[in-house]
Amino acid sequence: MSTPLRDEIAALESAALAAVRAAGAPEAVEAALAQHLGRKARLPEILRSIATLPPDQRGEVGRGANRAKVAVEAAARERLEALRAAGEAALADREWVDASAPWPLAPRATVHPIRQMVRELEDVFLGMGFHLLDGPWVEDDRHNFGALNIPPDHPARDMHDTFWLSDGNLLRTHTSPVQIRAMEAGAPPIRAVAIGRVFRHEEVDATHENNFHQVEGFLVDRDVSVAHMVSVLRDVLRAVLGPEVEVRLRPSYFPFVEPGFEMDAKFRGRWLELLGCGLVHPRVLAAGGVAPGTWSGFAFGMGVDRLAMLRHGIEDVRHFLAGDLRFLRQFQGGVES
Amino acid sequence: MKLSWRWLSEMTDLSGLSPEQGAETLTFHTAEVEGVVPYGTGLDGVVTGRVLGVRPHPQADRLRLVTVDTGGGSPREVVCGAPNVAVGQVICFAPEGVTLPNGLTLTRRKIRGVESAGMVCAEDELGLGTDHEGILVLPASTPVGIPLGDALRLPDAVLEVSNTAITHRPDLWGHVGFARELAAAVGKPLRAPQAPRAAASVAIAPEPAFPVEIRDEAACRRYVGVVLEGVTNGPSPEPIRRRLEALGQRSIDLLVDLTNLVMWEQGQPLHAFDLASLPEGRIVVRGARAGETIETLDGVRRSLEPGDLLICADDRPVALAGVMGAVASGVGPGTTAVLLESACFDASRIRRTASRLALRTEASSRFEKSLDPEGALTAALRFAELVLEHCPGARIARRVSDVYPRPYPTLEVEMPYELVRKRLGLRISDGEAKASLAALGFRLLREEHHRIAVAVPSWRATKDVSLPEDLVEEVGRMRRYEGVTAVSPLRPMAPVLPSAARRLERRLATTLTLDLGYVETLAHAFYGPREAERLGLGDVAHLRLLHPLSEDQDRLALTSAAALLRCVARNQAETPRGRIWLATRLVPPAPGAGTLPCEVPVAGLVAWDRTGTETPPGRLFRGVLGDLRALFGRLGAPALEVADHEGEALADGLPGPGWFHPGRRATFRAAGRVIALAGEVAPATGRAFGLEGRAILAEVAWENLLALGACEGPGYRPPPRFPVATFDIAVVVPRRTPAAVVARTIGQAAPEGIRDVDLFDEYEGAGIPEGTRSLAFTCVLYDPAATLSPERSEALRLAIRGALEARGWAVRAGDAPR
Repeated sequence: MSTPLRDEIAALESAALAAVRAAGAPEAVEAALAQHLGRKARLPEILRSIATLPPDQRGEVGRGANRAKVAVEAAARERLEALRAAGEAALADREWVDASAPWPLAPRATVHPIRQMVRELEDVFLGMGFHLLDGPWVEDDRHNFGALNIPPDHPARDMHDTFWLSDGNLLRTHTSPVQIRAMEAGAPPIRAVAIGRVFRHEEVDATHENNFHQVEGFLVDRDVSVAHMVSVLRDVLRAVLGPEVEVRLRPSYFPFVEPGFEMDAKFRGRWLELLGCGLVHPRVLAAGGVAPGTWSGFAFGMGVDRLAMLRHGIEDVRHFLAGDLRFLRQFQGGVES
Repeated sequence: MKLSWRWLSEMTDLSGLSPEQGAETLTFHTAEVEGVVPYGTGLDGVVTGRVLGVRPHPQADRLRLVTVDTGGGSPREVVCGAPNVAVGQVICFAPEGVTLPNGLTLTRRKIRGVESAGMVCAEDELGLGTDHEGILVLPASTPVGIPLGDALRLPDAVLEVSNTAITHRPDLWGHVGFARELAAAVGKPLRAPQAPRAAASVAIAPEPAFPVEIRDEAACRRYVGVVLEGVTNGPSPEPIRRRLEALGQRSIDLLVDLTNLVMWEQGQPLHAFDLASLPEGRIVVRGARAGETIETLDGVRRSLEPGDLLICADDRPVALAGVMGAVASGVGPGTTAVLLESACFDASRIRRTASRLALRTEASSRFEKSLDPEGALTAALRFAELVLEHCPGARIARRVSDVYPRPYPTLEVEMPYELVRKRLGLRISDGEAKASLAALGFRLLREEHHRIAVAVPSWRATKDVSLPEDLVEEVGRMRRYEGVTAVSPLRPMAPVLPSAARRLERRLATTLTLDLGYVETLAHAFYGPREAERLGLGDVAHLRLLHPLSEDQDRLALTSAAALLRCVARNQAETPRGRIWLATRLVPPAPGAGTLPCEVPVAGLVAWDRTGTETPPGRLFRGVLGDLRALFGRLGAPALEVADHEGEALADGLPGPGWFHPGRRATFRAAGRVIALAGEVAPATGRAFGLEGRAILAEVAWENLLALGACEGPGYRPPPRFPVATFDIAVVVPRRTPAAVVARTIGQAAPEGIRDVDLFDEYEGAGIPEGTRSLAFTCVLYDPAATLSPERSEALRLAIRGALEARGWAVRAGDAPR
């Protein structure tokens, strides 16, 4: 083999190795490779020209040039690996992200805390086999009062400060009319809840709204007892407030139940008045077209706003309808889609 | 309803109970006690004393030196500023060292140069009331030197019972009723106050009864009149004043106080007429005539209506029955003879009159509970008894007038004992049930075949108790409902899903908030005339609230726009760009009387940008339109069409929005039915609501989707089996030609060969004629049966081009299919 060609290959190899090893970035390694091993570079040219050499030189030149090419490629891989390792070692600082900084800058949209509570209650009741019903906001006297054993001029109407309307109807003062509508719509057994908006003609303050939300539940079946009612309500309250909740009954008066109770729940060490309940009054069953001798049932009502206030520690019921983003945006909890 | 614990203790043995324990007992047996307030505490050390002498203070005109005997044999002299102090009075004396309820500790000190060792006290200083006009004077018969608490039967505790919890219990509006409940609860006998002297005296009264005529027997079930002569009226003795004061009842004079005292005792309102004001000598109970008026004791002349009930002397109204007496007939300082009325009026009639006149009195609020007619005589005799006790010269001059046309029938209720156990889920023996009923005054009539029949006591029989279930409650509450074991109801298992409407609404809420970024709020269902006017709805018929609480909330909303724009105005200062939605119902008036209105559930959306940025033009409006498309996609709305809004309403009975920007408003239809309206807020409307920049409103009548049946979207299409080809085409159309129309023209050019047509660019400006715009679409061509051939593809392209040109539109560019 001619010495000049051998020397040239050696020179080319050491120049390429030097360029690859000096590269400070992966791109520079690629550029060095392109310069020294690319189509227009000398080393590949030598390899391509082997056929034109005298036969006795072909083997040695070919081996030498190939060895040089392989060595340069190996050096390039090595250099790339070293650069990557060095780069990754510096990631901690170079690519540090401040996890405490909120992003995106605008918070996600939120579901209203009342809807969150409603959805939770619905899911609890659905799981217990209750149907979800609804009734109109604008009701007639019969469904809101008469059929619920609150005849005209009954003092119990004082408990229901009523928005009367220009057409002679009224805005429902409770969700109980749905009991009557459910019995009118279908024969027992019935297990249903109605969750929705109700209206009271009341001055608004931190604990009173004139538009608010109630959950009404009732069950009509054979031989329904207070023991069944306690079981269902206790389980509902435990599902909503926590498994450690205890309940107790106190006598109370609601015209549409007999006997009537307040149920208190012990929540965070305090007894809270949470709901009114009782066995459905025989006259209410009869008004719904259900034979009181054959069927009995229990019914209960509870304030959804109150539950949501308890859940979040909200101090003023007026926030719910105020449309203030500073209030609404806090309830990042949500509902299952 | 307020209760004096001392008074209750006089009627049954409560010796083992504190007032708080008594309150707890009542709460769990009878009715919720909301609070226990001490009354007349902190009187330790204050004693009764007699004024022996009064002389002027040497240094001060308005002060006097009073010598007080407190029984210890060494009278003390103190300085006193009260104008009413006089020799011989029994007064309340606080010696040196005593701390009064108002916090004042008495020390020996000089007042204007004269040493004073104690104080003669006024009512307010003792925490017994607000009176500071003069010192509190006790009855002359009060022993001197005894603790003031003993003299006044103090300290006491006032139990405040929830009124709503006793709405159904006419018997619980006096102390006797609660004493009966407590007696039954603690197992002690009831010692109800009696009237032995009065009863004996009535029996031997010489004169015939004062004539009473009831003209309206439905409205007045019983009228008892007792005539007392020789009475002397004046201030009540201190113990009576204290007792009334503790209950929040102002003391007037002896006769009025005694009517009130008996009312608080028996629950039966009484009215005392000055007999001298009734020269006609006859009481007539009758309905009022149209146009008749009466001036009630509060000095107001009131117009009456038929249906109101009057007590008349012959024909002259002397009282508005069950509500309030007339100004000219009441007792006063000069009264020497009274006619005491103790009557039973119809609950509804009294309630209607009191409500209409907004005159809710202690009397009317009791009568409306359906009082026991049997109690009327008892109360009348109790009043007479107390008058005989407190007026030495008084006598019952005539026999009792007692008009009671239809005595209350005994009400019998029968109950199988098993019902108690079945309804309560409690193991209660027959014997326990029987005993509980007996303790509450239910008289045993029969007991056979495991059933009990009882006579309901008259004080429970007017409305409260009539069914076996009512007896179940009596038995249960005497047990405090303790020991109820929770038992799960048994029902066959069946899957329960929310209704289609509920599912749709749930999905809508989730999509709007979690997918599309609208914060959910809620709003009142009302707005007022000002907001209606701002929306141009001032003349539109709304359902009105008859008695609005505020002028801004006097009608039911016909659009969510008012609430949403209010919301933007409230938030835009802090939040320059935002999106909010709310769920509500719109309630247009029903077309006919006697029907309920058709409520339209809607979702209302608003997006705002206070800066009003317009790059690209209509950015905010397009964003909301895009959100609505996404929403309807998620809700599975079939065949969605979007077109310029032309004034149509969202639903029947609702007004078409007039608050939209005329060039930026849209109607969404699904299968031809309006399901949503959207538009930018017109500048004038925005200004009226105080908005800056731009805002977009949209309202979705999502329930209309249900009416269309399927909410499952356009349906499944298998992906193309053979390769498709796409090509872009741009067409120049008159400016306000809807892209949807152009896309439809393309699609219809070759329905079987075009899979999709999607707008990807809009252009207006240099290079195309003024008044036109260029729309560019990507068309997806395919052949369901084979790979699309170049020839077929070219044929489709030509067909599309031809269809567009046939509409008179210029095709700008049409790439070859690729």
